[in-house]
Amino acid sequence: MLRFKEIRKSVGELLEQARVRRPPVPVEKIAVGLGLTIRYAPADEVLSGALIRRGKEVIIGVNSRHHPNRRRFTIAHELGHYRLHRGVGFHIDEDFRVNLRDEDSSKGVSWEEVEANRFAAELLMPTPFLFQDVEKFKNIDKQAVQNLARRYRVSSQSMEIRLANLGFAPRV
Amino acid sequence: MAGMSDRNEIYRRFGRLLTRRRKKAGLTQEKLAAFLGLSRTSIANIERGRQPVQLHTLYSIADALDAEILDLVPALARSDSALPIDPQQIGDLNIKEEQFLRKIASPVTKPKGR
Repeated sequence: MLRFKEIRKSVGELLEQARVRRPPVPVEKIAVGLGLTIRYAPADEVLSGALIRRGKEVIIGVNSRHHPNRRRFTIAHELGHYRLHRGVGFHIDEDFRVNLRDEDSSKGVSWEEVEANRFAAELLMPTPFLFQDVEKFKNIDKQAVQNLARRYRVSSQSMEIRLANLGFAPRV
Repeated sequence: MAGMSDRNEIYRRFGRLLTRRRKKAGLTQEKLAAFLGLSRTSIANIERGRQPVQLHTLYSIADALDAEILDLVPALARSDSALPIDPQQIGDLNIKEEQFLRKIASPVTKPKGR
C-alpha cells in the first residue's frame, strides 16, 4: 500500500519547519538540519546513492559524478527512505528510473523505491509551489517544462513526470 | 574474512550477481550460454553457485553483459568494517558498491568545496 497522502503531509511539515516558501528547495540544508550527514564519493553511473544508519549517525551518500540536479534528487530520495522506512545498516540505490524490475518486487522492495521517489518529487517540486507556478504558463509545452525544471533545479525529465502526475499533461 | 571463509559462499554470491546482471542486460540463460559457448545447464549451475567459473570465463561473461569484471565480483563481509554490515545484505553487493559504501561511511572523506 503506497502512502502518497502521508508523503505529501510529511514533506509539507518538513518544508514548513525549514521555512522553505519557494523553489529551489535546499535539500542538502534540510537534510543537514535534520542531523544527517551528506557525503560525496565517485561511483559508477548506475549507482545513485546510499543511506547508512549507524546508531544515531545517519549518512546519505551521493555519487559525486552525477549532475548537480541528479545529486539533489538522490539526496531527496534517500531522505525519503530515512523519513518513511525503518531500517538498520545500509541501503544502496541503483538508478531510480530502472530499479522497478521483477526481481526487486519479488524481494518486496520496489514499493519502498516508489515511495522514496514520490517523496523526492514532492520535496523538490512541492505541490503548492508547482500549482502556483503552472498558472504563469498558457501551455505546458516543452519550453515551460524546461523553465520550470531550471527554476526547481531538477531535470526536465523529473519535471515532466511530476507535471503529468499532478494532472498537467505536458504537450511536448 | 567473516562470511567468506566458505569458498562455496563466494560462488553463490557470484551467481546472484551474475543473475542480477544478466537480467539487467535482458539476456536469457540460453543467450548467455550461446555467447560463451557453454550449455544452458552450465549457466544455471554457475548462477546457483554450483560450478566455479574460470578466470577467462569471467572476462567473457563481463564482455557478454557489457559489464566490468568488478561488477560481478562479490564484496567481502569484513569484520573490521566501519559499515554496519548485515552479512545477508552484503551478499548482494559487488566490490564497487562496497567500495562506495566504505568511502561514504568513513569519516575521513570530506567533500571538497561543498
